[in-house]
Amino acid sequence: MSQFKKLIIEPLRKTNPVTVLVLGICSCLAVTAQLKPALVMGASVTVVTALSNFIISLLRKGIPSRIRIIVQLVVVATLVILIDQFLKAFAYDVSKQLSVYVGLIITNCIIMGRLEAFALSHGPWESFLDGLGNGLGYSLILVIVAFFRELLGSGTLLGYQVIPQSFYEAGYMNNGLMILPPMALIIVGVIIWIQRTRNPEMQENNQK
Amino acid sequence: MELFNLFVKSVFVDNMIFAYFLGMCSYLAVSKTVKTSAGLGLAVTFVLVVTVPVNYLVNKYLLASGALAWINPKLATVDLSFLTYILFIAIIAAIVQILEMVIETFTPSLHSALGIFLPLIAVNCAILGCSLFMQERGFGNVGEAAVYGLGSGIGWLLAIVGIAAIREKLRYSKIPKGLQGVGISFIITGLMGIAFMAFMGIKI
Amino acid sequence: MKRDINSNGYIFLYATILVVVVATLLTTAVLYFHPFQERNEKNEKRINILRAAGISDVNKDNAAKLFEQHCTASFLLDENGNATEDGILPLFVIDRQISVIPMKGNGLWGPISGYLAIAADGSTIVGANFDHKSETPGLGGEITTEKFQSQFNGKHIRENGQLVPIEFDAITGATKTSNGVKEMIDRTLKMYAPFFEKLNP
Repeated sequence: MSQFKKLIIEPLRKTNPVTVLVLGICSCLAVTAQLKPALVMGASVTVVTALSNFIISLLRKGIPSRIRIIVQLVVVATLVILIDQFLKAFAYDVSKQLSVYVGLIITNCIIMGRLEAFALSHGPWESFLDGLGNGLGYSLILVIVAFFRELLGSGTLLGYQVIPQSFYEAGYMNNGLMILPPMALIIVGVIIWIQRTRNPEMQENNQK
Repeated sequence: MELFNLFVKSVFVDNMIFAYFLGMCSYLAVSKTVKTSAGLGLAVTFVLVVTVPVNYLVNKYLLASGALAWINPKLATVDLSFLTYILFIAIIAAIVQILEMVIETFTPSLHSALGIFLPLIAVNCAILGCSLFMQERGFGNVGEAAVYGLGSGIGWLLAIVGIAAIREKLRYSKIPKGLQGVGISFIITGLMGIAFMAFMGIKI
Repeated sequence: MKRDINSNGYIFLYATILVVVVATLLTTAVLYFHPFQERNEKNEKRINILRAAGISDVNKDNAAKLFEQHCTASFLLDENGNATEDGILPLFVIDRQISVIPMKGNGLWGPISGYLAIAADGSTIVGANFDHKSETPGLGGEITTEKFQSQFNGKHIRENGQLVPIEFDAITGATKTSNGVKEMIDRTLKMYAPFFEKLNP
């Protein structure tokens, strides 16, 4: 039970793929302008990371090391394409939302990063859990960033108007800068700041 | 002259990092020293210069709708574009694997400095993104595709060396402990991104 | 027999088997899914055309029926605006009056497309409908929202018989996509100009 907890809980904080391992940044910028796409992306990456971790872990003893990167990528790409094609046939509306992300999911460094760092050297069940945990850690950061970007940038959350009309009339304006990708970087920087101030052991000591 | 314009545009206006925000992970994680960043930037440029033209040929003669007509006119209706992701990625992964073996043999110090981010070049969204953009933009010939790949790579190289240089200098500044290292890099990149938006509307 | 997983022979065998398995898996899946996907895509096309023409209560269940009801003609035009068999410009007629033309263009990350519905006077826009493959949700992706699309209603594409450029509000933070929409509309209208001139000189 404690291993289960360790693999799922730690990536939410101590070994968060985005703020600690610095993986999955590109999609973090691209899909967090609004909360809804962030949730969709988080869910998709969690599913794909868990499944591909599981599959590669099953295959790990037989993969020749000279072509291992190719094999990993082919497995991930095939998985994502199959999911996308399936959705296009049977859940067209969902697939329209997801099609945008297909490329971003295949190249999401978190998936490859976990395959290299964990799935190649651990059993299938643990790899599955590791994938799940990292996917959830990633989703957490996406949700936090998207929350602030949508709230401050458009005054809405999940499409619903949150900032009351009276605020606008009093002179409040949406912060247009929040909608642009660079702000996502700054928000993550602040999250890292908060995280490391609360956990001093995570700080890098390279000041002279 | 057109090729030169394309090159300049790919380096500055269509800069992979600051205009499209692709290739961020390795950009942020590896930019601690200028030397390692230059190494990674050159590796990425090399991969781009090889994969973009190769993928251009693959797209032209295999993937695009009607591309197979050169084998047999009856195949002109076949559309293999659903294989795009897989083929492009497989080619990129193969080149990266070869690159990793070469770097491990000739410069082992660079190899250990890059660590996991060397195989991660294969999933560097900038590399797949570059090939996908190439596919859309419909370049006329392989030469243009190669110049586009070269320009994008050099743009990425400039960006990563730039931020590495800033981070090296930052070691002498008083940054709050929680922000040191990765934290401040995020914020600086965000600011640089805002600055680069100045290039956005330029038409060359 | 101990298999050396790093021997060239094994690598070659492994790679071949992987390629065969993946190719079979993907091709079978795509072949199997294709008819369902095509049906979905056709439906979506009908929905977009009808929505552009102002019929907004269309959904995927009634799309086929409504389309058959409302689309009174569809033909191909050549570059002079004449309906011919080997024309290259498609045109759909809704309720005998509204002409709906398809558009294709480029957004920031990928292709964008749309339909423009012009009233019988060859000048007033009845409605517009846009779609995209990979624009950023919340930015370029906003071109599919009612808010963006409805601003085209009532605008005029021609004045005194001449084509005039259309002006509309771009999406903040989606400059390239908005420019792509403008370029797409202007270019498409130029191609169909002869037809609209013939319709109402």
